[in-house]
Parts: sequence; structure tokens; C-alpha cells
Amino acid sequence: MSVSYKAVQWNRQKLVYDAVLLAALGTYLVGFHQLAPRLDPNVEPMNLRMRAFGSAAFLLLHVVLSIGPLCRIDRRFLPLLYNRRHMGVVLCGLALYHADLALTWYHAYGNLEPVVSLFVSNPAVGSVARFPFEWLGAGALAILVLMAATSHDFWLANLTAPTWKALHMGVYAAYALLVGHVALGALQTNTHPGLTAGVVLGALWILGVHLVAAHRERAADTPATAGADGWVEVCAVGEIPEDRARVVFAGGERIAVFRYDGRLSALSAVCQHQNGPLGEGRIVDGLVTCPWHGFQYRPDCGAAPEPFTEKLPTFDLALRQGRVWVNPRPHPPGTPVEPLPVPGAPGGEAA
Amino acid sequence: MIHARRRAHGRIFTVLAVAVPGALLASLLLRPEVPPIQGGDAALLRADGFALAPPTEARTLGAAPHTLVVESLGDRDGRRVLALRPEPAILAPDVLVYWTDADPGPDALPTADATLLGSLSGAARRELLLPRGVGPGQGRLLLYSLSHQEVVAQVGLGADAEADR
Amino acid sequence: MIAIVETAVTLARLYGALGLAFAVAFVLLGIQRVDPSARGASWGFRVAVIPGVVLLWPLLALRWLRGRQTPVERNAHRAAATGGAR
Repeated sequence: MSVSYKAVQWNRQKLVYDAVLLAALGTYLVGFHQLAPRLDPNVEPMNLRMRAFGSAAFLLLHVVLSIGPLCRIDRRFLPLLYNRRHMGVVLCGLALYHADLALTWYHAYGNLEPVVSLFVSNPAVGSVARFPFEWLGAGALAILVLMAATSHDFWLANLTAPTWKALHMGVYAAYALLVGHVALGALQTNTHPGLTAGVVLGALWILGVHLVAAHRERAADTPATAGADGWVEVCAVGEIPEDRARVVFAGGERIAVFRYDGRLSALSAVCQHQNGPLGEGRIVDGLVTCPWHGFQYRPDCGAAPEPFTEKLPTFDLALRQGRVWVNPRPHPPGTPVEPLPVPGAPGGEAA
Repeated sequence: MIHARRRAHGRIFTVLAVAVPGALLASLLLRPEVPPIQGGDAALLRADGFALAPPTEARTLGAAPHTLVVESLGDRDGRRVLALRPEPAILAPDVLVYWTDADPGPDALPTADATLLGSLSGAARRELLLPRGVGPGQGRLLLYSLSHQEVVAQVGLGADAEADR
Repeated sequence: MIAIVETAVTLARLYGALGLAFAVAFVLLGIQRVDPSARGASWGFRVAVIPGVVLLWPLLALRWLRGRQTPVERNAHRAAATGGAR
């Protein structure tokens, strides 16, 4: 980035995304307040609101956690990923309100401070039914707050994407804590089979899509075997579609070989913004475009167009008997490499 | 994600795939079976003096705001049984019900010969046994708030008795 | 147990209060030195990063003190390209 930060870079897509998100959330909360008292006429208004916001946060966490793996499995889910951080911030808000209600309702009227009372009033860690499940919720909330507070692009740039990702993978710990929070909390007293089935199916779904995605990623990360000179074979030149890339794992990371205007160029396939999978992006207006948030790079040198400053390592390519080979030894980020002409292609050299 | 994070993701979910179902299963298997309130709890309620028999023909006795819906539930062990339900709900604290055959006069406290029958609260319907030998419509009930140490109401049991307070 | 939790809460509040004081100074003066993209950035942005600064203020304080700027990420390709150690 080298364009001044804004609080939110609003555009039409983000506005529509947020409007749909808030409308769905409003519908759920209103529906919960209407429906739940019919199922349980004795429910307290305070408890009703606590459950409405807590369950909304837990459900939204399932949605947030589904987006990543679904995008790895099918690119039609990519529009959901584009503005996922707003969903995370909204989720954090729901969880904070749920926690505030619980603190007020159960801990505000004693002789200890509510937050102290939360951690000392129930030491039954050895019991399942009486386990202090609030501690698990508090742990998850701390992670969600840290993630929401560091969701701006400023943090991506200043922590660097790999560190930021590591921090935000804390969401998996938050998820595990929240499953515990629900299983040892709500599920201990509410034995309705529908609620139990919902939580169990939700966990199976989250684990299932993540395991499928992880399996596919592992398969894609099989290192390519290098030739005698250390170069690595990518594919036949005809296998790369126009304005798209083929990806090969070499040099400890993925390399994307793009074909455009009858030429070939190779870049390190991790976007500098959020480490998105550049190799699954397209060439748009002559620039490699990340499928996640649309960050762009010039294919011949790996540099983002002015005034942006991101730069990616570049690689040398060669054609050997109609097949594309790449040298896995990278050039420093932003180094121009003469594109390799595709024989017989318009714009390329004659065969 | 860079390669190291992709590998970490795979490992995290290998662990979670075991830990989350395991924890869920354990918490569900060890969940205590607390039965919801059923007919079996009637004995507890009866022991506490709540009237559980279906309502029968009732008379409303006493003067507002302390009227009682009174049902005669027949005899038990030679003693007459009444079901009493304050209507509207009684708001005085710790209300004891005494029976007396004498007319203690307005605002008088229960005397030594008044018999304690039980207690009333809210709009709960309670069963009370009158003293042995008390006939239909005989005597009156004193509703006495223990906390306030005052008689809240007097309710005559005679068929045409007017509450006098 | 109560004393431990009360101490922890007090320490957390102290950390947060120091963070908030630092955050105000940082978003006004320091942020554009640490990250050139923050030069002339909007007020909305400066407010939006405050919660994160309150949480991670020691990191940014060190960076501001040492006069360092936005780092560049490390991954296998970048290490091989710049370090030449492969």
C-alpha cells in the first residue's frame, strides 16, 4: 500500500455485503425474540436477549469459518471472502454484548467486581454439569476482540501478512473454546435434541470442510522434482489458459506461471496483502489480480502498479520441447524478467 | 497463506478433528439427567399444603381487596377440608391462617384459643383442615401477617357471612 | 483466588490505560513515521486503529523508538531471493 489509509474503503460490493449481513442478523434476532418464548414461555427477557445474541455470534462464527475452506473448494464462494473481516467485527460485537448481558445479569449485584466474580464464583472445574463454561467464553472473546481490533489493512501491513495470519488463526482456538462454552453451558441444561443436533452437525461441518480443504492444499504442495540443472518442469505450454496461471510448488513455496498476450511470466504465488492464492487469480487489464481482494501486480516484474509499493519475487522461465520449465531460484521482489514468448501465439514469436 | 501457515492449518484441524468431537461427546454423555417436573412431584406439593384436586364448586368470601375463593373438599379423618385461593393474589408477607369460633372484633390479634391452620401466599390454592368437630359455615378465618404482626383480613365461613374488618 | 484474579484484572487495566495513552500520541504523531501510508490518512482510520494499538502498543512503541518502518514479510521465496542462502 502507499495510498493513504481510510477507516473503511467503501465500495458498492462492501455496502451490499454489509447490508445483507445486517439484514440477515436483524431477521435472526427478531425471529429469535418471537419464536423462543413460544418454545419456552418461562424464559426471562434478559436470558432471551442473552441467548439471542450468543447464538447469533456462534452461528455467525460457523459462517465465517466456512468461507475460507469453501473458497478453496469452489471459487464461486469468493465474493463471501472479500469482506469477511466486516463479518468478524460484527461477530465480535455480538459476542461482546452477550458477555456484557451475562456479566450484568449474573455478576453485577454481588460484592465483587463483575469481571472478578466471573472468574472466582464457580471453581467447579472437576464437574461437567457445573463446569465454569464462562471461562471458555471469556477466552474466546479475548481472541475475537484481538482479531477485530487488528482487522484493518494497517495491521496486515505492519504485522506482515504471515504474522497477521498466524494471529488470526487464533479463531480456531476461539472456535474450540466456544464449542466447549456451549457444550458445557447451554447444552447441559437445555437437553432439547434439536439444539444438541445443531451443535454436533455444526462441528462436523466445520471440521469436514476444513479437513477437505487442508487435504487439497497438501496435495497441491507436493514439491515438483527438479531436473539435473535444478530447474523444475511446470506443464506443457498449451495447458496454461490465456490470462490464467499454472501453479507449481518449488523453492519452498508456490510459483504461478501466467500466460497473457502470447507470453509467459512467473511470480511467487502469495499475494503480499493477505497472502492470497495469486496463482488462482487472473490477468485483468494486463495485471495479475489476486482472487481475494483484487490486489494487482505487473506479471513481468512482480511490482504493484504505482502508487502501490508491493513487490513479489520473480522467476526465470524456459521452453524445452514445448514444455515450460521454471528456475526455482527467485529474483529479489520486483526484479523485471523478460517474459517468455509462446511460440505460435499472437503476440508471441513465430514457431 | 504461506506454506508454513498452510501446514499449521492442516495440523490444527487434525488436532481439532479429534479434540472437538471428543469433548462434545464427553460433555453430552456425562450430562446429568434432570427430569422435568412431572406428576411424581405431586407428593411434594401436597406435603406443602397445595391443593392439587381439580377445582370444584366454589364460593368467594370476604371483602375486597382480600377475598378468598373457598371450596369445600369434604371430610378427612373426621375433619372438614377447605381449599383456599386468594383472589386477587395476597400481597402481605408471611400470611398465617387461623380459625376461631369467637368474634375477636376488628383488628384484634388471634387469641390463644384460635387454631393455626396453615399459611397462604400469592394466589396459590392451599388445602387446610379445620379443627375436629367444626361444622359447615361455622366460625371465621383470620389472615395474619407474621412480619407485619397484624390481621390482614377476617373471613366469615357462614354461607351468608359478610367479611367484617 | 480472588486476590490473584483482582491483581490480573488490575494489571490488564494498567496495560490498557498505558496503551490508550500511547495510542492517542501514536495515532496523532507516530503512525505516519512507522507507516508511510498513514501520512495524511483520515481521522476515521486513526480512530479505527486505536483498539489494536491499545492491545499491541509495546510492539509499535519499540518500532517508533527505533525509527523502523513497516516490515516486509518473510517466506521461503523472499528469503531465498534476498538472503541468497539457498
